[in-house]
Amino acid sequence: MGHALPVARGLGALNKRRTSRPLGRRRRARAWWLAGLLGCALHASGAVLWRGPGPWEAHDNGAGVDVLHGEVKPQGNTSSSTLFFKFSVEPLSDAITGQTKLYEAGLVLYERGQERLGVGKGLVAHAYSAFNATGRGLFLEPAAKSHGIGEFDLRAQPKDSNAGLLEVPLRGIVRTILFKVHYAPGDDALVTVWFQPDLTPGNTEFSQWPGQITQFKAKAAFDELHFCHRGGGEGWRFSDLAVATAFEDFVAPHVWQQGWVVGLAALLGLGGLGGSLWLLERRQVRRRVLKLERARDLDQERARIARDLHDDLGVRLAEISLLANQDHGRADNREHLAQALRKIAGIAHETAQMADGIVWAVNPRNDTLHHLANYLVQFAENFFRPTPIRCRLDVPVQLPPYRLSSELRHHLLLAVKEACHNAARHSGATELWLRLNLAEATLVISIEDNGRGFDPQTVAEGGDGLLNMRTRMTSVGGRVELAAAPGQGMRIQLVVPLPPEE
Amino acid sequence: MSIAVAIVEDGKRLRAQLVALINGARGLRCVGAYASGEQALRELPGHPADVVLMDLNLPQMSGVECTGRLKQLLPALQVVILTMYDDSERIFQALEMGASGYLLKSTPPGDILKAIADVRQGGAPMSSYIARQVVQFFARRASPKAPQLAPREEAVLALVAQGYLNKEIAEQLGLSLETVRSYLKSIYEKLQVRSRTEAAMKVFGPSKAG
Repeated sequence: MGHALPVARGLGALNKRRTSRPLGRRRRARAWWLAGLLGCALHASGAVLWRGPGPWEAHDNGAGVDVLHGEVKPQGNTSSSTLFFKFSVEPLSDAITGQTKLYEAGLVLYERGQERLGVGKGLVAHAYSAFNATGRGLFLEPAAKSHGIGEFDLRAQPKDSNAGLLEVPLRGIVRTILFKVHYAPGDDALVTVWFQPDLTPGNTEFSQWPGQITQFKAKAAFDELHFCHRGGGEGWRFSDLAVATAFEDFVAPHVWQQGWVVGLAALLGLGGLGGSLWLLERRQVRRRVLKLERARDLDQERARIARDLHDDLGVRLAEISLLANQDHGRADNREHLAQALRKIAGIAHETAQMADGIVWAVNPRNDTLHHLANYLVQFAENFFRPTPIRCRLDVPVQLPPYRLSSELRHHLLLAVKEACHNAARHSGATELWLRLNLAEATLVISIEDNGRGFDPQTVAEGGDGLLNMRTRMTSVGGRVELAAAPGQGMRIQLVVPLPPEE
Repeated sequence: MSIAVAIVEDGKRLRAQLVALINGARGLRCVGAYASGEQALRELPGHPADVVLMDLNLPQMSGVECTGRLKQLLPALQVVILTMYDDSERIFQALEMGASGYLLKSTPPGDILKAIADVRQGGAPMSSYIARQVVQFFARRASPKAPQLAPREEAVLALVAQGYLNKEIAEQLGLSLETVRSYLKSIYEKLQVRSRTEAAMKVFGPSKAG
């Protein structure tokens, strides 16, 4: 017992450390209790409300039967909450294009006996889709628009793959579908679906691949959950249904977040202290919890930066390298070489700008609204200088001292870049306004041009660009608003609530 | 007469490429390429240049300080800042020290050459980005003794900050293009006069302030 730590020596209550055995045992008990506490603290962000392992088989079962049995609080059209639903499906026969026997299958939300949102495969759609959706799809047109039955294809393109954007259900291929329902009182709910989400440690709803995200609006009030299959084929098997309040509840914890590791760490930590004071223990544990939480935040931030470096820089540098190492055998062909060089110069320029943006976003010195405004002005000005579009700026010179995180600035910058690229490529405009407004702690950045515009009713404008923008804004708690009319230009607004002023 | 250009840049390869770019351009020649601010201060006066391309991020003496010292030694020298990324504080400090403009290192080579020619012709090119900061500067340090912007200058500055070209500003305000340019030049001068003392004190300490 003579090995008191120097840290503890200064504390007057040190005598108490010269303990008798019973106290030591009590301490051990405390350690277990602490380990439990730690485990709870790490998972305090949300909770899986209910799990139903299943499996359930549904084959031409009409409305099906409720599997929830009132385990989750019903949501009505006055709810304002967010719920996450996850389940796995295994089609028992293929859904083949052109086959006569159509079928519909999926997890269906029921409210007072009324069928609401369904996620699985719509009746007319050939691919995984949602049905009974009301609003226009934000990212994709309805799967069966001409039939007007509110089916939305689910984007299902795996990362690093050239596969199509949609996936047809095939026999024996198990798929996981996760969807978020954001209830808005008096309005249809906003639904986000992740097809085959990546739930390995460290992932979040914002780290998912955009090619697998679909958003639309639907009536999603429920008091029952049904698994349904109606029509042809052998039916579907469903399993692993769960309802939670946060995406992260479905994500496997890191090794160091798992209860027994944390417990062991806490125990070892306590052992190492040679049984020090209760206060000291508690402080250590608190510190460790904080440290783990910070490590997790840092992990996510590092993952994001790594992704950016790969997607934005790595890919372009690889392109340059490929272009430069192409077989320039036709070296006498000067035009061929000159073309390759021009391309290389273009990509290199883009890469340099990307690097610039990443460095700027990561640097904590730029964590203010003021810096964001300056950077956007500088970017827009340089970006449009070589184009026929004149860039006008309506950006307040003085701005309140809001602090903006690196992540928020990064997403705002990239969304603005996307909008500018869009305008430069498609608008045919002669003038563009970059505006930045602040009203009641909500930041609105708008990009407005006087170009040809489009008819939002008939054209799915923007494509991936708009999808990216929406994904970015959603991931920082904001949204994108689009206004356009043929011949009257278009306006993209990035709207995001700001954290409280310091 | 070709324009004599000097380069202060610590990156060896970039320096060599800039030298090649300058020497390959019609009407420009490179008269010196220095790896540090200290070296530039020692050697540049012996090889007079019209325009200096100045990196901000130098190993010891900063590009801001080097700009200030060079302008003290050689007031006619035009300094164009080259910078890697948005660094509004330091870009602006360098302007206060007498730099005539700034370029991002990602600027296409053609635009770098054009900027050198513009500066040499006595133009005071001002981007919206810089104009915003000039407005901020005058708002921030309003002391009655220091020179203020004239209403016309303020009007010109506001339009530059909104992204209008000199030619468009001339039309809007019913001025000649030359007049707009002269307003911009005078804004730069007031900026430097106002800030020279404070900025010099900041960088060099009171004894060397001039």
